[in-house]
Amino acid sequence: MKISIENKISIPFLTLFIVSLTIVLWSSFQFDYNYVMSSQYRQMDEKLKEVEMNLNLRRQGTGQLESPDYLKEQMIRDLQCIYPGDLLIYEKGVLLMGDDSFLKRDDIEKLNTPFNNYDHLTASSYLLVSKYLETMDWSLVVLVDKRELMSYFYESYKYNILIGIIFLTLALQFTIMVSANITKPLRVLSKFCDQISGGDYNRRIELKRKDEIGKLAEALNQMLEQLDASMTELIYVKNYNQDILNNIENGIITYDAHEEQISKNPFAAMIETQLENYNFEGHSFEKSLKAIIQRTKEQNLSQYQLYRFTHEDGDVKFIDVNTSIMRSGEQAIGGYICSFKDISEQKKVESRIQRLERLASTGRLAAGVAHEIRNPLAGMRASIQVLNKRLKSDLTGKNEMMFLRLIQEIDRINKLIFDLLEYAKRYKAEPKCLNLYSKLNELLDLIESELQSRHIQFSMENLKTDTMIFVDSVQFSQIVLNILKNAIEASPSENGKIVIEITESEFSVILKITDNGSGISEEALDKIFDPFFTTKSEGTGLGLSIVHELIVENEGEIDVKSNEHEGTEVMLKFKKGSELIYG
Amino acid sequence: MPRSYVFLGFFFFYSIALLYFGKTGYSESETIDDFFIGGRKMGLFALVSTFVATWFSAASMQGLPGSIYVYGFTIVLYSIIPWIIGAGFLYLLTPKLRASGAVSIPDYFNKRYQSKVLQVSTGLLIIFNFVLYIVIQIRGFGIVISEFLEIPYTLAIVIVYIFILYTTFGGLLSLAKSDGFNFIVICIGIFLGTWIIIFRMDSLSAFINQANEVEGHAIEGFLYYTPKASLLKPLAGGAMTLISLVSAFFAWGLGLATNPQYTVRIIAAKDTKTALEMIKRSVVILCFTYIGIIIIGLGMRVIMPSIKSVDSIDSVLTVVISSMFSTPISGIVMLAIMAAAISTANSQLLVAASSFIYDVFGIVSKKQRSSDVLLMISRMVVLIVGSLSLILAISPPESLLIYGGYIWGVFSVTLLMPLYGGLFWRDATTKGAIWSMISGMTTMILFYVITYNSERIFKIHPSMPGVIVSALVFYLVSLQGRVKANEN
Repeated sequence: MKISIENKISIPFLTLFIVSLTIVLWSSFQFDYNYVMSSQYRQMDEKLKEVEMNLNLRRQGTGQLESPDYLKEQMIRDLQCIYPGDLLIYEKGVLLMGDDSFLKRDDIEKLNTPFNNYDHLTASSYLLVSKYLETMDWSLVVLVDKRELMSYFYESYKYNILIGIIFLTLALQFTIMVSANITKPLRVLSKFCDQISGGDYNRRIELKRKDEIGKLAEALNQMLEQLDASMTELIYVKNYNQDILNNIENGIITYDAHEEQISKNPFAAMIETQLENYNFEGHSFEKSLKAIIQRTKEQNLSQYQLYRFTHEDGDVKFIDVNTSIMRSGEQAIGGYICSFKDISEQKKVESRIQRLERLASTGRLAAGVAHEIRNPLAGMRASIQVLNKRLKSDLTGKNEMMFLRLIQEIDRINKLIFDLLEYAKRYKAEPKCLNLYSKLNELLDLIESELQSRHIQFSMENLKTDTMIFVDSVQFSQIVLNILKNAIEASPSENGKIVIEITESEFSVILKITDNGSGISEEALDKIFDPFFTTKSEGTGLGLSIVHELIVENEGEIDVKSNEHEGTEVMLKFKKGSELIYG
Repeated sequence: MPRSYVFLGFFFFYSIALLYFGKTGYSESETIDDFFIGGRKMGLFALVSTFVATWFSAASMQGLPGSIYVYGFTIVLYSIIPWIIGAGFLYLLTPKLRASGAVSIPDYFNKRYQSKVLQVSTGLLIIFNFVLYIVIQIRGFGIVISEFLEIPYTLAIVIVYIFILYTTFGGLLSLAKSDGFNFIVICIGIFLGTWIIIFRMDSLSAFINQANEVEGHAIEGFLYYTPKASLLKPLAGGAMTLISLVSAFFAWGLGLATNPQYTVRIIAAKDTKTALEMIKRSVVILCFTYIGIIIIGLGMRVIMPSIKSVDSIDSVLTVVISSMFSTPISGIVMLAIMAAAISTANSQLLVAASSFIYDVFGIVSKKQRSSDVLLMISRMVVLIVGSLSLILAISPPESLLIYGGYIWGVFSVTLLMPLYGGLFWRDATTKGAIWSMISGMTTMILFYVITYNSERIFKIHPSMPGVIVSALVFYLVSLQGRVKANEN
């Protein structure tokens, strides 16, 4: 049971008071009782002495004139007048005067025992004092009704009890007031501490006292000042660290010594969500992290690994994971930190740079070779034409055809060289703001007849009339037409479908050109931008290489996704045209 | 063991229990609002306990069975029914009074009529009335204690005084706890009394027959003679008149409806719903206790049709139970009377002190004081008002006792119209309130003087003309004020 400090103070005092009061009342009761009894016996002794003296005087006064029996009779008659009801006289056990019907036989025998001294006896409800009078051979007994005596006693003692109750009430009131006053500042302190523990650190206690409690309050206020300052600093540091964790573009997850996750920052949660349907060698992202933490624990060493997570639709994410060990004491392992970063974009950039370098070197080589081949080839073509003229008359149909084929092949080589030189030369883009809607419709006119002849369903989605892009107009046409031409060629003979979907963001415009054609195999997809790589019998393999060059020149991006026999999706990203660019 | 020692034993254990219950709430009061109105956060249980215990005064416990013993069933219509109707008025008053945000009736007057004079004068009237009422409570209780314990009257009232002060010192929160205990004691006393009476009855029909047979003076030498078959009659065989019954409503019913000792409990409730629930539940509980009181009153008369001369009707119960019941039962009934007196007197003492602090001292003194100082002053006021009541109770002048018998009527003629009129009539004015109080009080005094020599046992209560005149004056003066305001 919880006992308040107030009760802890008041209860002992009250207990002490009640015990003292009870002892005082009880002892005064005993004292008063004994006093009443002894004074009563004393009175009765006096009365008995008085009777004895009266009897002696009477006996001496009468001398020998009267007979003893007559004298006794006279004496009893006189005593009956003086002491009616409270005097008994026995002679050899026989009652001569008074009524002893209320006395027991034993008591009467005791009263008739010949004692010289006053004998005090309490019988039934009476107090008795007896004395044997040898001269008369009488036993004299004085009696007093005890009930009557006690009722007087109780009546007077009642006031002691009432005064006791009054003082008990006063003492209780006094104790309550004193204990309440003593404990009040403690209650204030306790209430104050409750408020502080509730988190209200700005409060200050006001106790205008100079005693120990006042000093305690002062100390508490000072402590709160320090606590407040420390808390402010702590909160600042905590918030600062939290801000770092929240804003860092690295996922950070902490684990305890038993590899149970403790915390993760928002970026980690975001990556986890993004990688929900990705896996690395059949394991989910979460499992992969657990495995690397397990490895860290086993080897007691920080770990590093680059994970390549793949999605069912072929998308790939590169996650760079680092682990480190948190040591709480000198050597004790407190937990593990796992930080990771999505480096997929970085990987794409790297691959693009590699591709560009590869294309550039290939282009330079091809241009050099082409330039060297071109002059002899021109000589060869001229010589063949001269020979053809000179020998025209001698040539039969078959030989003439051979000459023609020779010239055609040389022309083809020339075209190839032309394309090569085109590819190798630096395209200088002159970008301007261009209305995408008009431009695409203009391009659509160019390919419309072809689309109709091949029964291809063509559509444009989300194309707004006011969408502007910042590109070189001619080069943009070249890019889009090239892609569309490829899409048309890949489209099936029936139910062909090409869709251009436009997506605008704050700074860019994305054109997603999708067809349901034959698609590109996974092996070929990596090489489509390489020069001379072609899957067509008539192609030079330079179309997409040039497209790539033009896109780079216009500071755009190209990405191709394809599933063989299902179709291809080409994503073209260009800068968005705006007033700012106009300016 | 003398009989008074058995009573002393009961008294001793009652004292210990009361000391315990009174102690527990002492340190809960931290402000004067906690002290006087329980911080306006009191729950239903505490409120019902203190409401019923305060309601059930020595008048209910002693005067009511005594009056029923002498006059019969008509007293139920004369006092109990008006009280219950008065509780209905309190129920109507509750939402508006609580919405006003006032801490007392005089404070409400100041808020409603913008008159500090009205607040201070009403505060003083309440203090004056309650001091006298406490005198009556102390006196009634002192007589009972001195008779039972066979001690001098002065010692008896000192004991009462100490108990009343003890239970009031802790404030309303503390008082509610001791009131709860006191009401339990009251209920036990009434239950035992009722049970014994019912035990002595053969059947209801036999009881009714016996009651109808009662005839003659209930108290030897007393003026009222009970005609045969009139004990259960509503108008007591002609002694009571309808107009007297109606006039009693103006005193008891409307007096209760304006009595600050009930409104303070409405204000102390934690919300309006709790306050309304407090009134409903209290009235239901009180109805049960009144049924017990009626049975005791009528039962005593049937069993003992006449008693020898007693000082007043209030002494009938103590005389009858002493001769009819065994000593322990009488002791419990004695405790019930004590509990009723203490639980009412301490509430009245607290209301008197709160009127002084809120409505007189708080208005007159502008100095800002801390809660601790105000609490100390409040306790000092409790001590002073209690001591004043004790001194007056030692040998109260006859005129004070006569006035004390009309205090409920004084409340109804002075407070009813300004309070209910202010709450329910938008056009009520300050002048209307002040003049209604003055005219009501004057009419009541005049009517009392005029009818003083009337020989009728049940006169028209002077509060009836008082309330009627105060209502008329309130209406007319307010209306005139409104007309003048419109003209301006």
